[in-house]
Amino acid sequence: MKAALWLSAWMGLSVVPSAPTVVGHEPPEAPARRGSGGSGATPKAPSAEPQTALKALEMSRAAVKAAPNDARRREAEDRLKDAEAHFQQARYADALHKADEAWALLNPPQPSLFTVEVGHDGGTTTVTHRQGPPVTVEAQHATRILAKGESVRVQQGTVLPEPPSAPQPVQPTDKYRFTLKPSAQGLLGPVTLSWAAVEGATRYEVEVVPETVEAGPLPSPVREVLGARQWALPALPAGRYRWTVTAVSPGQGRSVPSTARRFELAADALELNIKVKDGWQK
Amino acid sequence: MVNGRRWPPLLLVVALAALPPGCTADEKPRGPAEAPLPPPVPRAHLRDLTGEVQIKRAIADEWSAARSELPLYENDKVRTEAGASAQVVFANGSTVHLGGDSLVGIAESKLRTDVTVLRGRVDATLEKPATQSLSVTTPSATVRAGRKIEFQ
Repeated sequence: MKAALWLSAWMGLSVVPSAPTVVGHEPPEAPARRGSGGSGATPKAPSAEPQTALKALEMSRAAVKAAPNDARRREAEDRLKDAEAHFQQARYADALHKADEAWALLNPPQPSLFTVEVGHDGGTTTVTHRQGPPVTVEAQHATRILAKGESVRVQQGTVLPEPPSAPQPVQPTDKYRFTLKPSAQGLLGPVTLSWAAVEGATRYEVEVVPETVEAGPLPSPVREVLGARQWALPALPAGRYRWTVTAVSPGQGRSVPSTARRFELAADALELNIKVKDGWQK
Repeated sequence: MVNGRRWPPLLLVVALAALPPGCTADEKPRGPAEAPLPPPVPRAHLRDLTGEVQIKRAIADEWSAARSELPLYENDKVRTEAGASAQVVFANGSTVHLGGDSLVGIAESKLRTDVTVLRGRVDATLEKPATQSLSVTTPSATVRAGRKIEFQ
C-alpha cells in the first residue's frame, strides 16, 4: 500500500505537459499575435524582452553608423527607423525583427574575427575586433559594441571605459562654399578640414561623402585616418559634400561620429586669359 | 459515502497495475531518474596542435598530453606552453586558436558561454557569423560574437 501510494504520487508529479500551458481562454497563438499586432493592449511579447530588443537596436545602430552612405545603408536606416518606432510602442518582437533586418542588410556574409588577450595575472582583458560583424563586450553589467579595428581594455572589477566624446568640427563652417580654380582634370582643391582635439584620442577617422556632383557619377566616399586634427582633402569634383569625424582612443574605443557638416565646391565661373605686353595674364 | 468506500481499493488497483512486472510492493519502482545517462556530447574538438599542448579532464586531477581530434567536454581545460598552439573547434564550426602560454576552459553549456580564457591570447573565428555564435568569457569580461547573440 505504501509503495502504491508512492507510485501514485510519482505518476502525478512526472506528468510533463507536451504543450505550453495556456492560462484562461487565451489561444496558444496569442503571444505571437501580440508580438506582431498593433493593438497595443498587451505591450510585451514574452519571447522578446525589452533588453534583447534594445541590444539588437544598439547593434544595428552601430552597424548603420559604420556603413558607407549608399543605397543599402539607406534601406537599413529605414528598417532601423521602423525598429525604433516599434520599440517606442513597446512592440519588442517587431523591434527585434526590424533591427535584425537592418543589421543583416549591412552585414553580408563575412567571417568574424576577434582576439581576446588575458594578462598573466588574469586581471586585464584586451578585446580587439578584426573583421566582420561587431562583437559585444560585457563587463560589470555594462555593454560595449566593438566594430572593425576597435579595441577595448577591461580591468577586472572595473566598468568598461566610456568611449571618447565626439570631435567638434571647426573648419570649414557649415555649408561653406569654396570657389576654386579647377585643375587640368577638372577637380577642385585643396580644401582643409579641421576639428577640435578630443581627450584620450590618438587618431581621428574622417569621412567625406558626396551628396551631389555637377557632372559625372557620384564619386565614392573619401575616408582617412589621421593622428593630426586636420586633413587636406584630395582634389574633388564640383559638388556638395558632407563630412564627419570620429575620435579613436586605444583604451576607450571609438566615439560616435561628429555632427555632420556640409560644404560645396564650385568652379570659378569663367577664366579669362588676356594677352598683355609680356605674356598672358589670368 | 458510496464513493468513499469504492475509491481506496480502486486507487490501489490502478497503482498496482502500473507497477513493473516482478516489482514487489516494498520495492521502489524504477523512475526515469534511473534510466542510463546518455553519453556526454563533446562541445568541441582539438585540432592543429603544435608544440606542447596539454589537457585536463573535468574529472581528472592530472594534466596529460593532448592530441589532435580529441573531443572536449564541459569543464575540460587546455593549456599551451610557450611557443605552442592549438585550435579548439566548436560543434557549430566556430574556432578558437590558442596562442602560446595560454590556458582555457570549456564552459558548461548552461552558462551561455563557450570558452573561458584564463590566461594568454586566443583568436576567435566564425566563418559564418550569420548562423554561428561564440561567447568567450575571461575573469573580467564576456565577448559575444555572431548573428544569434544570446543577450543576457
